[in-house]
Amino acid sequence: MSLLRNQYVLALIRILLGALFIYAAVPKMLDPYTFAVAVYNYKMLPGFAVGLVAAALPWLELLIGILLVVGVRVQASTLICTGMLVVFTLAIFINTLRGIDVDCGCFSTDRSIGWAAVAEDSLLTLLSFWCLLFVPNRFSLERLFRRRT
Amino acid sequence: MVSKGPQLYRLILETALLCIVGLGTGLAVNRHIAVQGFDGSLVEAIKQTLQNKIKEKARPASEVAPAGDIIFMGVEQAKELCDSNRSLFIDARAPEAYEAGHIYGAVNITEQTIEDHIFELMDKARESKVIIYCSGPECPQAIELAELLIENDIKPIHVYSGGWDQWQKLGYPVVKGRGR
Repeated sequence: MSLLRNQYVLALIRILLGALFIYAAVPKMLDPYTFAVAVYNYKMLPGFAVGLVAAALPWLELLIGILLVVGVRVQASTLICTGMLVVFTLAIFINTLRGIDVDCGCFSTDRSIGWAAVAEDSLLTLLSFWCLLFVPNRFSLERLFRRRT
Repeated sequence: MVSKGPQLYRLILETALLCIVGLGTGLAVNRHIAVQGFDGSLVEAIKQTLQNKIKEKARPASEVAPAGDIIFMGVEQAKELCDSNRSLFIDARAPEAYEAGHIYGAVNITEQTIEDHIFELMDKARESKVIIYCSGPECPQAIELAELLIENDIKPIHVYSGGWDQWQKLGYPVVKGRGR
């Protein structure tokens, strides 16, 4: 139980999740068109939504990643992070079940989906949910500012 | 745990604000992509990009198969499927080109010979992925054959857009002659 609430472990996971989100967001931001192709290939969204997701999602990912790493608005960031991971996991899971081989669009845009990607995203979702339950405030700018004021 | 009362309201407000800022920035920066998504040109552009500006087909738009049934794939996925035996590769090029060399395991089916294979393909498509390729990203045969198969309710159809040129350049397994 103490490990579950251990702020050092939680902070480490928070920073790890943040770094992963930044790492995932940057290639998509640099090449939104390729990301749009990945989104389109999932066959889960209508054409207009493909454009919206490809244009906007990587920026939200980057923002959440930065906030998680530096530790600002941790609870809200973790909530969004968990929500996004749940959606990503479901999308990959459904397409893996359908047997459709598409580019994952997860980190690099040339990686295929599959059970490994489902397991990986499920693990990240669990870690994010853990952080949502026991908000990791240690090593955060928010905590630093609060102390000074 | 998520806080209750006023803190919960604050959390909801912060979450909404972060979403607005993140998504809003993305939409502002990439508004051209969002607009293209709305006017339908994005999906078309995606198809064209994947096919590297495939030649415009003579068919009227009403006869073009729905885009959702064609799935484009890269060489890694194509190689993986070729190795796995979970797929049927169709070489849509002319028989002469097929005999000169084709992807290991591929059969040669063109628009002219499709009728001879249609029932066999219906059966195959139930248990395997159907992947069509032609010489490269600019050739139209793969897409045209894919549309014909979709019209016959064989779907989804995968198109390996890199095609023969990319496959042989990478030194992946090929076969010469009529045999698969």
